[in-house]
Amino acid sequence: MRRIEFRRSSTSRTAALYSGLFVVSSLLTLAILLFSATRDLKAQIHEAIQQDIRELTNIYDKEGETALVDDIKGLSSSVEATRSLYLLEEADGRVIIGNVPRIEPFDGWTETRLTLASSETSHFFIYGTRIGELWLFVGRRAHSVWEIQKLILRSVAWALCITIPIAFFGVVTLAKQASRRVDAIAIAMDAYLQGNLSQRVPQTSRGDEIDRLADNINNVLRQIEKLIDGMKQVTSDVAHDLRTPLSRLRQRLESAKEGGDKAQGSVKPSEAIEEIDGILATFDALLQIAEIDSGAKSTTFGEVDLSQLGQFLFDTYSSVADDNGQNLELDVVGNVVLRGSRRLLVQLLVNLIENAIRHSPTGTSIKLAICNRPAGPAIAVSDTGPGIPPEDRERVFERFYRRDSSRSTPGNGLGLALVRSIAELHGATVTLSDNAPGLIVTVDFPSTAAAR
Amino acid sequence: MKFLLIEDDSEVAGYVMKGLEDKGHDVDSAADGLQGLHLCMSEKYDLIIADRRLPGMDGLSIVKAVRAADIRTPILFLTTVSGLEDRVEGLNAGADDYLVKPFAFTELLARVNALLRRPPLFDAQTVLLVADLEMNLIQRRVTRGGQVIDLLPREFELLQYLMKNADRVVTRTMLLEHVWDFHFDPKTSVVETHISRLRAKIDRPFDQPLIHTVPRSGYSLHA
Repeated sequence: MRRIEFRRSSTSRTAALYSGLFVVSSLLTLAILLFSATRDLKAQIHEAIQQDIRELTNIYDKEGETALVDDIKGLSSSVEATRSLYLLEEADGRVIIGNVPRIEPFDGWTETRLTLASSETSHFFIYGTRIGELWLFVGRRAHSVWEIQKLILRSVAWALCITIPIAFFGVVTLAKQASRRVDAIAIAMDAYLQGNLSQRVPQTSRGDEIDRLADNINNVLRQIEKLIDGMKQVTSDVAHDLRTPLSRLRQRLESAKEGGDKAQGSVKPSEAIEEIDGILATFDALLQIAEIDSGAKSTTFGEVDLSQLGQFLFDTYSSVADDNGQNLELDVVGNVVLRGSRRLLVQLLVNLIENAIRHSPTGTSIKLAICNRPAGPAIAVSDTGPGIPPEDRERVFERFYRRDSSRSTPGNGLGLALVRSIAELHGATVTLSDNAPGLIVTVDFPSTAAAR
Repeated sequence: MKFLLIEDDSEVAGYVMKGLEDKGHDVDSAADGLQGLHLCMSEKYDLIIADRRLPGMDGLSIVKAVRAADIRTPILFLTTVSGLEDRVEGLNAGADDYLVKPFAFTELLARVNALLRRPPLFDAQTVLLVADLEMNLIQRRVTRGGQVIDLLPREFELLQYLMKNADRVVTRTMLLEHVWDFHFDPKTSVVETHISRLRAKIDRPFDQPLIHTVPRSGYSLHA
């Protein structure tokens, strides 16, 4: 409830703020508009007055005072006289001719309220100047400036009446929309906290800042889910799969205790130690897979020369394969270097090579191939052994899964799970396919894994 | 030899102390990190065995402090801390070896012996000699009784490690770590296969075998 109230108040606050800003900026625009329109119009009027003054001065200069008086008389009785002012005075201020009563002589600009001879009262811009011994005044009504100002003010007022509600509505809608999206994120995260770890925060196609935030949140959620899943997996693996050997060991120890030294089939200390070592190895392997899956250690990556590593492992395992009646071949093409954990990649390769050795009969050919493909570095371990039927190829990656045919070989069923985890840590994919006959395991690294 | 054992688990401490004392060593023990560090700094030991997780002060800090004080006593970590990079971290801090619990006492003993008789830091030895077996590290040439023996690269590394640790027991794990840099347990007989190949070349043509199997422990090279 509180969240919704907050949203409301936050929305309306935003709306009020933006509407206020809109009004202020509109008023500012209006002021600038008024100021510049007034200034321009005034300048035009001043220019017109100056023009008249120049013409009249010209007449006076060329044709003398009488012509000027005639001209002003003409102007004063023309239609212009309703919005213009003309006045010629003696040096002492007596009116010679004009369409206004006497004006106290002055030089330059003034703005004043006057009543014309046509009995119209109005504001005038007036310019006064001396012509010879005389005073000449020319003026124009300021009316047009005010008219324009009034017009602008009125239209802006109307515009504001329409745009302010629109702006307010728009802002409210936008703010509501944003807060709706934030609410959707909050609700999704609530669901996540309630235990629905597959829940993700909704994203739109807009790709704006909220989407970017949602994307980041989703990455974090994904990582947390992965960690929690890993932990759950380890817990259940430990619970189910370590329990079996432990209870078997316990039974044997118990029968040893009850039967004393004479007990048949009871456990000898060395066997018990061996069994415990097996359990510990499984335990370590599980923890290691979990640690790799959490991906937290990928910062310790360095440059690993796969070509050299392949040669090294070939040197190590060719005699092992030989003793097993098998043949190990090495096929390294080019210089394959990638960014990764040397220690883990050694383990990946060893697991694949040892799998091939252990699960293939005498006479099998095993090949370790390392090369650079266009898509990135690749490792392939192939054998001409019995292979794995297609329907089992995915299952062999599961922890503790052991095919019936391999149950007689020692092992904990974690080898390929570890291979996949290590591959995934390096962004690589592991594929099992038919080597016709036999099995080929390929590990394809992305081109980004290649170290220059 | 005088050892210091810094270990807070009294059962493990008792087990290790008894084992080492049976071999004729003198063992001091500390159950907490600070006390351990104090002993490291005030007494002179031939070897220090330390846990990583300790009350008072952790093992990593103790090792760093000891090395910072320029004390060069060999240090062996004996710990359950076995994550991917933990071992590297431990060795980088200045420890000489790293053994993960649980462990077999024979493994600990083999490592302790390897550390105790480790040659001084500047090892300019270029020729290793055991009985009539000779290894020239510069020429990478091995002869026995004057007869040249051809070895593959891994076999050479393996023999070199055995010769450097002649008369001592080296365990399978030690060989995997030092010769192959494998920090996991391979599922095939990597070590056994190579030892057997090496024996075929070094021992079989001659009367006296040099590579001996030590039951339930490992191997030892001696006349």
